[in-house]
Amino acid sequence: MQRYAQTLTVQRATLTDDGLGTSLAWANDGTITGTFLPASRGLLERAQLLGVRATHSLLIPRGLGVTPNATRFVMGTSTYEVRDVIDGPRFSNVLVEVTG
Amino acid sequence: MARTYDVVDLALNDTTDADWALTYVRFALRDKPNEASAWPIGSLQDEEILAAINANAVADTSVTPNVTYYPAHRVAAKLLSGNPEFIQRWSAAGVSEELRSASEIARELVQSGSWIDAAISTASGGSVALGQIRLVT
Repeated sequence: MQRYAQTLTVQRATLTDDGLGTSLAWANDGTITGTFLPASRGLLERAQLLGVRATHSLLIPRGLGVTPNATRFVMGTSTYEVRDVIDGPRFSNVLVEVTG
Repeated sequence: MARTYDVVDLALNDTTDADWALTYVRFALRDKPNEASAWPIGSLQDEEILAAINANAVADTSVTPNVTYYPAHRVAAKLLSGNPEFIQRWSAAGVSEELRSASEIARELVQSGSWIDAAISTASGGSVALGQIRLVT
């Protein structure tokens, strides 16, 4: 599993309301080591039930504090938006969608 | 109540130092913060580990004042094998995690820490040896 581990930049969203509208800004919040896996049939079905699109399953250390739609990961030129999180005893299995 | 893990203490290899023993137990059990700075599920407090460390301490009464030794590897093995909430297997949505059995890991902890038994025996000049454990009260 370690063989495919990648260093990802964690980004968190901040919503700002200036009275005219709400703007969304992303800010870096350190890096984390994660392992990408192909989304399993079970995960794809779970994504369907939740009404989201998922392209990958990402294993990261448990306890990072990942919030769907308010956290994303960046690796190189790709951005992985978090759609769902399943916490295990040691790892969190994060359902992500590549958006860029 | 607190949780501490100072990796500098690990390098001391001082079997008479309770801080070293605490760090060794956390290291052996991997009861330390992960990359996300999160403590593992069921992580023990320092006081809980120190209680076990003190309960399993051995004393060399052949010298004055007595010297107390801490067989930290045995404490780690006992805490692990006695943990009723040890998770060996877990799976959800196509992803699973699996460990060896608690008893197997506990045996390995005792074996891999056998240098601690040897160090205690050497330091005490043979006064404290495995099988002749005397609890400190």
